[in-house]
Amino acid sequence: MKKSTIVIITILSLGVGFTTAWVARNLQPIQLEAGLWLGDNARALPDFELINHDGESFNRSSMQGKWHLLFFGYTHCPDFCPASLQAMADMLKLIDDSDVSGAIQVVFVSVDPDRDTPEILKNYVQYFNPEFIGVTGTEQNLNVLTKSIGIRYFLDRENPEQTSYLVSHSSALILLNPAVEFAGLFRAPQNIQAIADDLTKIIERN
Amino acid sequence: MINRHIKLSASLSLVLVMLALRVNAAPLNITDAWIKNLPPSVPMRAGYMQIENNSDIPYRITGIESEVFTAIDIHESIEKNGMMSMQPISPLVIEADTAVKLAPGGIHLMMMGPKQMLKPGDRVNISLKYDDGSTQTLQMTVRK
Repeated sequence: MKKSTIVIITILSLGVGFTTAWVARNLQPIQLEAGLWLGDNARALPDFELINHDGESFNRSSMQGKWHLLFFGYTHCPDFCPASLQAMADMLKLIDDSDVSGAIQVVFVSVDPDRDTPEILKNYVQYFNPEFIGVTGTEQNLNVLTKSIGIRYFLDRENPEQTSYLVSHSSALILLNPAVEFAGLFRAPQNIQAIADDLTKIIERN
Repeated sequence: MINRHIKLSASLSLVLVMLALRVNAAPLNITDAWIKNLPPSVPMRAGYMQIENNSDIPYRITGIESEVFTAIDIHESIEKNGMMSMQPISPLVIEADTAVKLAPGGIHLMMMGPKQMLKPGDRVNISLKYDDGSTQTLQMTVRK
């Protein structure tokens, strides 16, 4: 066999190998260990209007260009909400690739606006990670967002004057892509290593 | 007659000693008792611990008190159909020869209204009350 033929066959073989590897890596559906990836079924969020922990407007355009992990809860929640925010802070530290962790913004959405003022929210979320954002809004505005992504919550109080009450709320973490589409979710209980691996897989491929 | 008195006294003493032991000995082995620290603006804390009952009788915790909190209840975070809610547990029963772990996302002490600023490293005394009227005090550590 001519030397040039061997070179051509070698180059072709390498090309086929690389192409197969690329297809396997980028065109196979993403399989997540800890969550659910909506893939082509990702859906755009409607327009909504909330306020962030500095009292500024927080809406769809505030989330353009970055991956967002949304968690819904309330600051008077002693157990699950602090545990979840701590888990997300710890989870981000498990991501080795700083480009990946830097592309993720965690947002705590308080569904208890009567008690969770922007100031209280700021103190609360930044205790776990100074980069975390706390947002809230009127019940009507919160419902635009929660209904669009299937989040449920219930304030267990008899009248609006009652100051001591519990809140039931969805436990899932919602993943939005940089186009502000509902792209996936992670259900409780949270396995932070698996979530870190899943987010790395998703963000490196998108 | 005297013998009978001695026997009766001995029996009574034995009962009293046993009662005293039941009251004073720590009936449950409690370890890793800690409180999750939160910013001062949050009027709630959650407390966790490992409780072991190495005896052959069940223990029921009917109340918890501390000078540092206005009130302490035992709650469980329960996830049902994707919704997380809390339910009170009263009493918390620790069956004979079993262990119960109070941990984030599950059973926890709901510690309301801290009366002082708390920070990681602080120690808080609490008192567990059992259904037989006995109590057990222990120290919890505030952790980040």
